[in-house]
Amino acid sequence: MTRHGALWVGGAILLAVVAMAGLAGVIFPEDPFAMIDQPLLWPGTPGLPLGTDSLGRDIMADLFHGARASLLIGLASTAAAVGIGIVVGALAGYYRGLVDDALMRLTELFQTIPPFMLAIVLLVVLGTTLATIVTAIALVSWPAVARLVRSEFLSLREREFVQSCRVIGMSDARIILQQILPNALAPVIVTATVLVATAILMEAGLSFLGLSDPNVMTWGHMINMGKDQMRQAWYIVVIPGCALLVTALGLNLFGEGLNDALNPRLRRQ
Amino acid sequence: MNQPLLSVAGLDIARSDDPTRRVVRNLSFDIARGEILAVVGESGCGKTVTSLALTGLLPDGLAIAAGTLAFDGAPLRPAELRGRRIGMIFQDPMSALNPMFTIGDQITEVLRAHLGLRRAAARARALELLALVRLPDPARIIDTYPTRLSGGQRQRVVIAIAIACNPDLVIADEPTTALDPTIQAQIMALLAGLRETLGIAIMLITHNLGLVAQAADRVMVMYAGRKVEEAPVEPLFARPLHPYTRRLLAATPHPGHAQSRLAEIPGLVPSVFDLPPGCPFAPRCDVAEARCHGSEPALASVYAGHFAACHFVAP
Amino acid sequence: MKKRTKKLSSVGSALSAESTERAGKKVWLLFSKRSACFLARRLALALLIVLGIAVCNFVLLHMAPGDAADALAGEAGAGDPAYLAILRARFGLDQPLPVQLWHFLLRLVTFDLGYSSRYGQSVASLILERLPATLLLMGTAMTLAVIGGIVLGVTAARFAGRAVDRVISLIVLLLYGTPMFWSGLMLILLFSVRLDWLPAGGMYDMRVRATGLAHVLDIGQHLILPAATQACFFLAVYTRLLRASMLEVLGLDHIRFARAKGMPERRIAFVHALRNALPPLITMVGMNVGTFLGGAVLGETVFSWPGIGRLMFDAVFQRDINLLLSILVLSSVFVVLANLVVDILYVVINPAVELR
Repeated sequence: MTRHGALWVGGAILLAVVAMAGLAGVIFPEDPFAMIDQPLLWPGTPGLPLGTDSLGRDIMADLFHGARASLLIGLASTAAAVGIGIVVGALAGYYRGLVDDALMRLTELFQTIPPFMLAIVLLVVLGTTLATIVTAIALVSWPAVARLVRSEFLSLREREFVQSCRVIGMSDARIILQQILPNALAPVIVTATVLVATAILMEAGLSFLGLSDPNVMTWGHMINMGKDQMRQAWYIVVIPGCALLVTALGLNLFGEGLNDALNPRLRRQ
Repeated sequence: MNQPLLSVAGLDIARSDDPTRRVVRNLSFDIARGEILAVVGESGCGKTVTSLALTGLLPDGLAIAAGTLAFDGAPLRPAELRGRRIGMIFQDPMSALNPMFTIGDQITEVLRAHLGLRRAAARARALELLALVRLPDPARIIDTYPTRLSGGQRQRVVIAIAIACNPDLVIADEPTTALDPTIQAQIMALLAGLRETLGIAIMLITHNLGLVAQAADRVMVMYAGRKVEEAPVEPLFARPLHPYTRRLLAATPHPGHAQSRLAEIPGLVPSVFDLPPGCPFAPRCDVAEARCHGSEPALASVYAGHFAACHFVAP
Repeated sequence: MKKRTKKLSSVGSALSAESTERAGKKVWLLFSKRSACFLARRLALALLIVLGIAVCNFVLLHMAPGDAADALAGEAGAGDPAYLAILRARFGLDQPLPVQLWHFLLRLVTFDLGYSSRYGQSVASLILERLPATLLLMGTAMTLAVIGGIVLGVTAARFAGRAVDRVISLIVLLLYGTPMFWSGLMLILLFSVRLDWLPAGGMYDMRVRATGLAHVLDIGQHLILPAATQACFFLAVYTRLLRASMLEVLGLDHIRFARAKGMPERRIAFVHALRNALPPLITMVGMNVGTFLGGAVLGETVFSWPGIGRLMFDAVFQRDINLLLSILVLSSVFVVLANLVVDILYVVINPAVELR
């Protein structure tokens, strides 16, 4: 597959998932938790292309609503993580010295505590709602962004255009926000794309452990519900798993394609 | 003994995707046993590529397009000879040794792979080799890592590896260029000494004619992928035939007045893929006339053992 | 340092076995001034991080619904005001926050993590009892991931741009996107439910109660699927990392020189180049210990593996905050220790390392 191919295939997959999420409320306006037919109907049953689960819920409807939850949580938590990461990384990289030391120790601390375990504890402590899930995932995902932004800032701050801004007396805030940050953004965007995939997979893992918002249908929850019927009705587990796999694949491909498009000099062949 | 050790005839090296784009053209030369042949020319003239072709180490994208290569009377098989009967020395000793392995590891692995020596025997031989290349305190050096050694010391280690299996031929590609002048002389003396004691033939690739005068038996001058002059060392220095050789000699500081300025050769080496019609050196040549721009001169024997490719000397 | 090396080599030459001598030398390297400084700094940093972990946990404890006593009591004492009062007094929960933090730290240092009435033993011993199972699974999974990553990564780099490389890239991409717990379920579906080759869960067969070698084989059989499940994702990570660093190393001069020495290509890739490409991998593995532990919660839950991860899942189920926090603290401390080991390894494996 060519590099541009990665960008297109990834983009197409993402578009499909976004469409699923957007149309969930239109095509399947009823509650995804509602029991609509007999339980454990196999895919291909008339009117139910993907069958029903052990509680008689329409798997197709659940899949569409799950796309909505996955995307929402993935994007929101990544946005928050990137926000924290940029603040921490920019301050550390721009001011160096003590600020850098303190912020980097903090980053190391968050990298030491097993991220998934911390997310679990946070959710048990805070309770599981959409907001707490987003918070928990963001709180364990920001260190990677912070490190990246910091290294970008460390090298950019020595560049001539930044030095000259300092000479003409531009304020630190303006230098950071208007001069350095835009130049540091390309790798951050690439990382963010991959982080969305990680966040979606992490959310699915948390849902699988029962740590999901009880009012929101998610793919992880679907797998969790289906795992005890695997012997008789494996499709309940396979279908949402494939959805997760394809979505994460699309995001990773898109990220890879973006990386090559944004950093042509880093291309290796 | 009359048979040459290495015999190259009609060698063409070209891009593997397009055999008409040649970087070395119709090159023929021999190296006799125990002989030091210097190959001289500016960078890009094809001397390094030739040496890589002899050892089968051409980079991806380049391949031998034509020619007959023979070693010791049999067709040359680089993969079988490399490291055993043909040793190599590269330009930069700082990067030629693997920083993660001890000196001893890097020498003994050759001995164990090619000579089948056991661990203890290989180590004993490695100590001998380190002494042979006159490194002080081999017993200490054998267990150190390359980063602890100076450039000259590392080049001695590289030489020890190159001669580890008693090769017939050592190809030394700019073996002293990366070193201090005083060290350069020591390394050259070492190589010349090894030829005397072990009878190793050396193909010495260099752009330093001072080194050539000091050590070589014969000289081959290359320009734009082609041999332009070849002669034993005295006649070449006394009576250079090709204008390019004369310019190279003029560009070399003489031992007596080492401080004298290097006479630069005006103009650039033409790209081997975009040669001018006629003699490739003509655009830079100060005696060139119309015929030089018209046709490329053939290599001709001018005196016994002295060849040149120039319209002015052609018989 | 020089003096010591010299002395060592004279001692070493008395030994006949070269390898013992070299191993000895590398251990000595740790005691050189430079390395000692480096490791001392790392140790200080580790202590700082442990302190941070403790503070983090203290904060989490106080974020929990109700007061800390409710959390500490777990479900056992919930609703029993007398028991809660005892707890408050014992842990100084009626004191101001800084004093409470101090008490909290003291408890951590003395390994007093509370008592779990559900399991009828102290939390510390409960966790330590489960630790070996997790270490066995994690160690196996990490080894699988590292070995697989090395083989695939080196192969991909050797044949960069060719069909093998593309196939490996595709595998990596798929493994990257697969949710770990789901691939575990799929493996169960295939190898246990469909083919009936391997057990679907647990650590050993309760019905047979094998001993000796049979017991080891039994555990091994139960280990295959969960270890493969946990290894998959990291296999992809290491393959990708190693491919990149191998490509860098394979272009270096000393690799060309190794070819000129007549070394076979495979040896050049797997010995010469790999040794140079290994340090970033080691760093990465060290950084991944925490992620591995987090993954253990999912892996052990899917396969009912009796380790810390499974214990954590049970604690989630019972909303046992004290047990959860204790697992979090000990896991974090374990990560710190693992990183220290990696630092030491780094010094041993890399003679040319610039220590910071």
